[in-house]
Amino acid sequence: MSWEIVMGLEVHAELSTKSKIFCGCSTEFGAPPNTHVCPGCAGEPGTLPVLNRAVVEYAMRLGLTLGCDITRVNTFDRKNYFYPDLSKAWQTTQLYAPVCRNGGIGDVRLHQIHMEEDAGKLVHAPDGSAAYMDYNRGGTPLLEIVTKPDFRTTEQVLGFLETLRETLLYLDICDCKMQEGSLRCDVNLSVRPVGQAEFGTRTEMKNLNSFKAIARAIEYESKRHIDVIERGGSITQETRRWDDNKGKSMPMRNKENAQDYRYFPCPDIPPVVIDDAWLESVRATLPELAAQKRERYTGEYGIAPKDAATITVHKTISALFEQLVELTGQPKEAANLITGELMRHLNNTGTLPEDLQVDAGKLAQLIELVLQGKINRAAYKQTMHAVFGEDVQPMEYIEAHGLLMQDNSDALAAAIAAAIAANPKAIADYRAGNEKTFGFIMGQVMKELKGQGNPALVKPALEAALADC
Amino acid sequence: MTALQIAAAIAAKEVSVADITTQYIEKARASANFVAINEQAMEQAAQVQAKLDAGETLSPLAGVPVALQDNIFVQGMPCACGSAIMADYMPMFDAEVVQKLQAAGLIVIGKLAMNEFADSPQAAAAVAADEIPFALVTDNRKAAAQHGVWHIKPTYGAVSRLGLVANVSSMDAIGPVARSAEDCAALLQIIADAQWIDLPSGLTELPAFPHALTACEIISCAEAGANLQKFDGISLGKRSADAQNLTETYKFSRAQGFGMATKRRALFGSLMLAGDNYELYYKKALQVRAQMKAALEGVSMAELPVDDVHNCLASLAGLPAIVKPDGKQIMGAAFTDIALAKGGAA
Repeated sequence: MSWEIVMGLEVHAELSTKSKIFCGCSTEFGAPPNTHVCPGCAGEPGTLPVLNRAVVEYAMRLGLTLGCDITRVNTFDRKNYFYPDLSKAWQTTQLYAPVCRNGGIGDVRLHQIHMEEDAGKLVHAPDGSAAYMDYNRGGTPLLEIVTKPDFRTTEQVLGFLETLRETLLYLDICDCKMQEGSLRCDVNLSVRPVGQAEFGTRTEMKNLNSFKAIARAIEYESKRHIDVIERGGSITQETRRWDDNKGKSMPMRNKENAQDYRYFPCPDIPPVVIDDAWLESVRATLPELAAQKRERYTGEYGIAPKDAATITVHKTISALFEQLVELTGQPKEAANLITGELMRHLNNTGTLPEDLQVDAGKLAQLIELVLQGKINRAAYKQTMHAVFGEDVQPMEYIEAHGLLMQDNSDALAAAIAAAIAANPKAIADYRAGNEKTFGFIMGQVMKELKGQGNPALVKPALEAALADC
Repeated sequence: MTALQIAAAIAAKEVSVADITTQYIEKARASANFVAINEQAMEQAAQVQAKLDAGETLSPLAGVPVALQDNIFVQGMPCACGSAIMADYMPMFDAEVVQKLQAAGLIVIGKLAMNEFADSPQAAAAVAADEIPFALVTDNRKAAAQHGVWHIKPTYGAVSRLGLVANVSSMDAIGPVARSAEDCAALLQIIADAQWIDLPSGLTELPAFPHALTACEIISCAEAGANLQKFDGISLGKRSADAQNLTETYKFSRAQGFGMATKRRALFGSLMLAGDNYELYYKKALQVRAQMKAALEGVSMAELPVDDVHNCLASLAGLPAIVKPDGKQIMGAAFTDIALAKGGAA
């Protein structure tokens, strides 16, 4: 029998707002434990939540971009459960009135997007003797993006996530660092015989920390489903944890599967009304997205689609490109720099695009130097890597390494004289009217100058010398 | 003396803030109604006296002693809510009402005992016995009626809940208990952030609300149960010494920390939210509440007995109610609290 895989996603995007969703604490990642905590996000009694309106705006940005219906009267609900990472013993989320409904990316329809708070982090002692709570992450704002069960292949899932990631990045609402947990994805999966209308029993997979893990987990879990069913068994609806080291999914403890969250409207947060004026002001400030940039780069600058795709792989890269274009007015040189040397640098050093730190002014200076003929292409590349790696001052580096083209007229005259003296036959041919030999003689002069000659200067000087011979 | 009479005597320099503070601290120390005394009270009295002597006008109640039900935070004083689970709890900040009391020059004498996460008969008793001129409590209508003292359960939202241990979040309201309607009004004006409105005259007959009490029980137990979950023995709530693992920490800490009445309410509330019960019961309770609120919109004032069946009306609708020494309450339209007090006194 042939089988069809049916999947839906639940994606959690940690928002890059400066402060948390219900208090003024910082959302900075990686701070020492419990340093970004106040009585409010520690869940102390006597505290009350005050909604950070930026969170609503971020949700609106994403919702408007993905064509969602925006909920005008937003309410929050409490999801109750006991776990040490949840100091209040409830998570504030949106169940009954999520901020966005419908919309989608390509063929994939969205069910909803809702706002909620993240939990803290449980840190286990290496020897297992104790567990510690770090509440820094508690109260960090999240958007949960829930799709309809519209995926049939791993490629569709990865394609969707790639576009979503790109959209979140360009909207500047999430840094999408999967390794830091700022973008997390749960996969709901079931299988059914091809042609069958009803869905099979689904399982939900958690702890998928990379695109690669997602692909492996889908492959493993779909095979497991088919295997169980073909052997006459049945799938249990449950939440499973993906273990990327073992390459296996395992059921999570039963308790978590039998959880009843006893949702109810949060009595502490008044409804948040999104009026037309607010919605339109957010719509008016939506930035240009990656797809729009690609269209502009190919149309306006004549850049190849493949290169435009490389440049928009991350917001930091397209921002660098646009800075270079602005500084130099040379989109093609800028594109070549990025698709060539910059990508090589990132690959060689294993640097992630989001971690790239480079002075666009220095790169622009290099572009100008090479276009003016003051350095040759080899020197251009060498200096560029020094800028990437050690953030050197281009001119200092070029001078220190003798990379500047020779403008020295004595050296040039000597080289020309040497080349003429060493190649009497070529000179005779040239004087006999064979102008093609000029290139050869020019090459000999450059050789004498050890590659440091500036062709823009060498050519007229050689022409003059030959005319005088 | 009423609170306003004490304030007048202080203003007229017939008595010093220190004298009056000493007098009430002694009464509080001798009383079983108090669970904690503010050891900074004398120091604060001296500061208030100095300001008054320098000619500062603090408030019509400057220098008057006041006590707080033990669910309102004073930094540096334990806050136990009458519960073993909060026995060692020290608040991290002053309640907003406490900040307002201090700014107005009132002297917090101490904390009053209470039923676990519920009302405070001890507060009403202490005021009735002049162990304190007046006190701040959360909805204490039954106890006030029993002890023949004045009490305002204010309009929901008129008084900040910051620094009040949440019980029923959608109904909790801090209000005064006093021996006169004027004292109630004066104290409420100090702690509230509200635009009061005048009261149209005339009592109204209320329609019957047969489901109000059930709705009130469902909502209040569910909210209280959820609010008390955080006292689980992890970062909050006294941790059971018998617990060997995480599940036992939750089970034993809560089993040992909460009293029976609290457990019953929390369990009932939890049940009302479990599985399909949300749709069957909780949602209906919210609908009853919404219909009741709408039906009460036109009501300006109604005199009612003080009992669960009638108390729940003002609680659900968030309306003010004033309890008089005769044991009756008058419920009014939203933000007519002060007018109600004046009307009640007349």
